[in-house]
Amino acid sequence: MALCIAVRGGGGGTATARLLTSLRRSWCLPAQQTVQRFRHIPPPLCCRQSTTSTIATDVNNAPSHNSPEQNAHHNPRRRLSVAIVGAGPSGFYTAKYLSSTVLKKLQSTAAIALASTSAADDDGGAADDNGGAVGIHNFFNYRGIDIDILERLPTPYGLVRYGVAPDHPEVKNVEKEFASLFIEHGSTSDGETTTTIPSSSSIIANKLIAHNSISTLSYFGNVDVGHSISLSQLQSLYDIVVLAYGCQASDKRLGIPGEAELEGVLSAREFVAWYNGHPEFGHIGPIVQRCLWPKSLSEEEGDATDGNNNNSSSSSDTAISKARVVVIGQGNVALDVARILSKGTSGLIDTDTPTSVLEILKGGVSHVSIVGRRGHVQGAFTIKEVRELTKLNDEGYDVAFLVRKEELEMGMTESSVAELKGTAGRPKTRLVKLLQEAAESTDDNSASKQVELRFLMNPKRFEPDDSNKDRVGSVVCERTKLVGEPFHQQPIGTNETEIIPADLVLVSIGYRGMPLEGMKELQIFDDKKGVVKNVQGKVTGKNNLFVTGWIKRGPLGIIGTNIMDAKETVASIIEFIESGELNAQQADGSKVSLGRVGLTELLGREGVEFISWPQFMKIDAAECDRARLRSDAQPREKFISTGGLLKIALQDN
Amino acid sequence: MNQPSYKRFLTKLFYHAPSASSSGQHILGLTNTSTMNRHTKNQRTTIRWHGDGPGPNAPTVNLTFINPDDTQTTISARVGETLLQCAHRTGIEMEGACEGVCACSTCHVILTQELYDQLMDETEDGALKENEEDMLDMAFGLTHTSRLGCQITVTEGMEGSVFTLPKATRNFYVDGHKPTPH
Ligand SMILES: Cc1cc2nc3c(=O)[nH]c(=O)nc-3n(C[C@H](O)[C@H](O)[C@H](O)COP(=O)(O)OP(=O)(O)OC[C@H]3O[C@@H](n4cnc5c(N)ncnc54)[C@H](O)[C@@H]3O)c2cc1C
Ligand code: FES
Repeated sequence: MALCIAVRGGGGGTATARLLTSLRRSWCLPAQQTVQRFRHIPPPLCCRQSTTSTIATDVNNAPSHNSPEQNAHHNPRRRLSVAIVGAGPSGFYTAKYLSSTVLKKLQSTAAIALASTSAADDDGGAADDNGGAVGIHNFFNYRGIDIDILERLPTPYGLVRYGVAPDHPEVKNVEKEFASLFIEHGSTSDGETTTTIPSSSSIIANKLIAHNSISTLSYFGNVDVGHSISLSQLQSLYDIVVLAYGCQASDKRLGIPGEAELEGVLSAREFVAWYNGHPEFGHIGPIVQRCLWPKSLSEEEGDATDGNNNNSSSSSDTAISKARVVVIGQGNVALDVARILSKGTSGLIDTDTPTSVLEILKGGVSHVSIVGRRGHVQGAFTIKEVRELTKLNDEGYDVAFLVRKEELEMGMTESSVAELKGTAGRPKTRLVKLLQEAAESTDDNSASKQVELRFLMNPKRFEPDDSNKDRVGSVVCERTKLVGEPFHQQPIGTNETEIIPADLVLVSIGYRGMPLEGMKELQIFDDKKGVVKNVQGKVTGKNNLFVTGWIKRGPLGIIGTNIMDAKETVASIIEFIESGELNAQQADGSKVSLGRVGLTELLGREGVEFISWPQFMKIDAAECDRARLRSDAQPREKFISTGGLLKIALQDN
Repeated sequence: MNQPSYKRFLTKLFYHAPSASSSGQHILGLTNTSTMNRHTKNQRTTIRWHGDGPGPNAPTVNLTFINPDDTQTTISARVGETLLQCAHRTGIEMEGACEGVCACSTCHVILTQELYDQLMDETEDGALKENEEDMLDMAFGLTHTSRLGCQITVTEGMEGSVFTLPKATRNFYVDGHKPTPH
């Protein structure tokens, strides 16, 4: 096994390693130093030139036997190159656990090798032959790991930046941990990152390994896999490719009349991306504005209009929209959008909600109904999010939370009662109790705004507004009742209809994963489930593809769920290497995984302006610049266009 | 393979740490804070759980963690720090995605029944705080004696206690966990 690698990884491998060191110098350093170096050597150019020339020279001049570099050339072990597609939580957790697992592997294989080399010295050689530990020997062939994260947007963090509600800043804290991976692994071996650490011997060993840059991490923002570079190109550049591109490309639709035709029927996904400042969803703002502030409504606001300008943005920041919003679906995303709409500026001023969004949301919306087909026991939301709604009024946001007692009673079928039993029912039982308390609550409802949870209501069609036939005016719902065994109850129509007025409808019944460009041919995408076909994270078929996160298991679960998921995928990657599968796939020798060097060269050739981590740090710093902020408490003011983000990242200082 | 050069590499690697691999300790996932602070001082990056804990002169107790890979690590915890702070200070693999403010449930840890009851008795009304209970409801692999590591403060009475970190099975998704919808 070792021999086969030696042949493949010979001259080119060493050149690659040398280049990697120089590349690492230019773009993997912690932000501050690197930003400075950027001014002198634009990385794409420098990489492009040196990549081609050095490798060519090396291949042409095969090392002579007694060259001073002999040892290096004969060292058969090379670095494992891994590309991760998508810089969301699942991509970052996979990078984190893959590098720590590889470090662990190298520690134990290094120790075994140390033992066996001394044994070899004793008995005169042939230590490599002690059979058995095939897996370990496959690992032996790597002396480190280089992980590159490719992201289609200039900015990383996926739904943490563009999904998690801005009034949940503590959830976004995880960004700091992800960023710290670049400080731990994006370093050179020049001692920049060493520090005093607890003096356990194994930690010292670990540190020494890190010191030798056994593991490096790089970021390639603004690289859209499927467009900037094809999946198959990526597969041939890297030993391993991990798909972590999430489910933000599409969503589930109701498929009822009016949904596609009427203005003002949006998906919660689009609305969430807009209020989080996603650069591709700026067009949602004007639609929301027309729905929340139509001419007639804004005129009702005494102070709203200035005569010849009926653009409602002139109404005051605290004006409450009289609009009625209907949110369809009962997961946490539905509760997020309802809460954001109700809170309005007063609840969001100190968050990273873009100012342009606050100018449209203003004082919030007076009526939000969250509608679901099933009962309260089947709701997909969790208690923390519901409790937040119950507290809005006490916290001074002027929002009442309403639940109808009769709907809770209707939902408490025998089967629903059974669903609450046992340990598994504990979280649900607490949630049901909270909803019952809210329904019983006799608090006076003098709040100016309200959020209502409506159960057992099935939307059948959207009707246009009386005065504007192109815009939504109401949602026609049919009352349902629950029928069936516990956990299999179905909402069955009762022919009783209720019409809920709606100036804006947000359909929140789930995100939907889509195949990458070029994936269809590989037959690895499950269209029905909207996920990449896999067994424990290994994409099915003979390939070097793995998958993790939402695009692996569907759009379910919190950030933490991606940890266990990433660990499963990492275990599968390790097995793929240790079982010899990776070597077997590369055995024909035609493939040299150029990894980072090859990617940089290819992007340069294609004219793709990628964003490095230090360049992203410039965006980060600019967004947090005090001059941009509305208040001391606002954590950042995002740049909300791709052009704006790229400009900051690519400018010279 | 070129044995001599490789051996030199290894010797260099382990020169200061001959027993590195035999200790069986869990040392990865260590956050290198002092470096972080140095490089990002002006970029709002400080990690709360590292900063505020009691100093090295605080009294200590021995705690044992059962790691996800079934190895055990015994560490010396400082009285007054949270279990999460302690885990991060000593290199135990406990996540803390929200930085210890009870908003993520990634610091989930499983207690012995005895310790769980003991801590319950010490609370004001014999129950967990509402927000910890709410977050636990979303935790992966919830048990009767589950707690959040960021909400437990190390006390003198914990000497010798054992904490189990929830295990990721190879097959975590099919093993009965239904991820919280979103
Ligand atoms: C509205 C909303 C609110 C949420 N709130 C919470 C919360 O409060 N707490 C919590 O714990 N969890 C929350 N979640 C769940 C959490 O966000 C997810 O579990 C998590 O983000 C999934 O991670 P992922 O990496 O699989 O996907 P994503 O976060 O979507 O990341 C995927 C990344 O891949 C990139 N990408 C896509 N296509 C390509 C391509 N072709 N090439 C390169 N890159 C690509 C995307 O731009 C994105 O950055 C929320 C989810 C949503 C939708
Ligand atoms: S660290 Fe987030 S809940 Fe404890």
